Amino acid sequence: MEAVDLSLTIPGDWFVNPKVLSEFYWKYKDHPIEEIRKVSFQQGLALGRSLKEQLGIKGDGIEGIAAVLKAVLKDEPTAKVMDVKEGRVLLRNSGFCPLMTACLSMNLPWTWLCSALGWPFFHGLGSAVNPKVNLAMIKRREKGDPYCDHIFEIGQGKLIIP
Amino acid sequence: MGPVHNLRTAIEMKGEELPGWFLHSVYIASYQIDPEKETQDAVEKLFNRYRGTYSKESNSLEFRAGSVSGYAKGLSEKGSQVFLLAVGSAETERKALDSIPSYEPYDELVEDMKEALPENSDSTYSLRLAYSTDEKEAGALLRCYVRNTGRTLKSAGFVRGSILATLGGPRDLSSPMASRELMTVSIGDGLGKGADAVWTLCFEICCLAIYTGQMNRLHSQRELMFDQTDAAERSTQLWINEILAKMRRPIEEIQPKDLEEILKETTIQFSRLSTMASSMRRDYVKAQGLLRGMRALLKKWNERPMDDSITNSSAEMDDLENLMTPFRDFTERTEALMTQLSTVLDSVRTYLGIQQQKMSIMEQTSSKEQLVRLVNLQEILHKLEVLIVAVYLTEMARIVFETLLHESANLATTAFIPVALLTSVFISRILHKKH
Repeated sequence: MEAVDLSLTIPGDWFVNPKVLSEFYWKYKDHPIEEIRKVSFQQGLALGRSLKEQLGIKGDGIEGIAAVLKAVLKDEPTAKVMDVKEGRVLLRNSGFCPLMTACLSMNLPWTWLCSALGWPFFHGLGSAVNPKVNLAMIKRREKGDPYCDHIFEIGQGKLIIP
Repeated sequence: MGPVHNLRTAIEMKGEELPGWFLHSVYIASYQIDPEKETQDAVEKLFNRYRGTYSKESNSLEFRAGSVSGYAKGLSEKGSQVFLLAVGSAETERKALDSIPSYEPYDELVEDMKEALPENSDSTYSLRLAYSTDEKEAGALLRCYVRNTGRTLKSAGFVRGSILATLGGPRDLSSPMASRELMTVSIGDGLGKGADAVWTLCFEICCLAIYTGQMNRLHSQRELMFDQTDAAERSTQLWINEILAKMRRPIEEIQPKDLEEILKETTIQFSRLSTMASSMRRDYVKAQGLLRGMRALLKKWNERPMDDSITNSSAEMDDLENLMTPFRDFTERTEALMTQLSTVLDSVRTYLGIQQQKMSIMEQTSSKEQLVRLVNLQEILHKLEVLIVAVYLTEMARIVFETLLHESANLATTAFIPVALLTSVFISRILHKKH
């Protein structure tokens, strides 16, 4: 497999841009998924750090993670921070989300996009505030659940996809 | 546009000869061709394994494995690739007629040949064949086979001089659309026209495999969307209800900023639903094309029902139509949500219109008050102007009186004040008249 600098190929608005998602998928669909996840994580991390600075977030608490997520999703009607308590943030994604729309319109595999790009990106966002944050994707629509629950909890800095 | 319905004719037109032996077991599998990848060379693989007579040009192979004869053919049609694996024997004696042969050696060879095929087929058809002298005997053979194998009869009918039956029951583990098991009892001696008809039927089933394969692929690509329709619809409905509840608040409580936010989110939702509805409609139109192609193919069978069984043609059409239903349902449900979002957008526009009107009325009222204030101010200025002019006139008169009258200058000045005032009023009127 040829080594490719994937970071150069994902524009910042990939998650709401079906054309970008399509081009990315067809170019890298046979690439090792772990490498793509790393790139997506780094992109989330960079955006998260920039927002953290803009918002003036101090410390590495769970409230800071929630603030970053809210800022990223401020114009997104299908994703909401539902709960911030007991050391965890619950971000719920339901309805007709941008990835679902892109998958249907551009004929792309939903599971691949969420797993390779979506979840690592959100994990990166959270890690910008606290590098030890875990993101657990317990409920996922790609496996038949009615919504995707992104649970951020301070742990070992892992993306958990059971 | 669907695949060529008469693959058999297409093959013969290329000068290819089909095997002359009795067919006993056939396996057909269809795949989608990936334009970026080379098509599979499964027939060549089979040639490397069994040798025999191989034609790269026609992508076909005929060989013998012990007492069993084998044939393999790969066909590409409209973005699909289909492989036909057929095995049988050269046995032409009467003992092959009116009895169910032992399929074991044939099935073994078919299973062995299947290993050369690519994985992840879109649809498969397994077909077993028997031969019978007349219709009555053929029916009896079929019933006997169904009973002995513990299967059920899903559909059956007379097609091209044979009884064709689709089997259901315990062995049917995979999706009913993706995998079919068929039994055919050819009526006649199985030679000449009879053998010809059996081959024609096999190639028509290849076409059927292409249609069902393409439909299965289309459906499986959208299955996750179909599964999520209920949840996504419910969530969007809740969101719409929340927005409508916000809109029901007294108009004074709704700020332009709130309306802007609602408008933004509603527009996002509306455009997404619009994209999804039109994408799903695109797939539905594709599915309708497949349905039309399959209907045209099955119409050529002119299938006659057997006993009370549903015909294979009807069963195939029903299955395909059932797979199409979720596409239509999804489109209709997203369009219903779009209608509601249109109502939300209309409400937001109405509210914005009302607010704009209110602001305009407020602006009008405010300008009227400002005008009154200006008029009042102007009147005051006029009065001030009169007074100032009068003061100047009086001062000038005082200078004149002091020069002429000396001691009675003050008295004269005082007496002049009303004159100065009247003169000032008069001058002011003349000047303002000019303006």
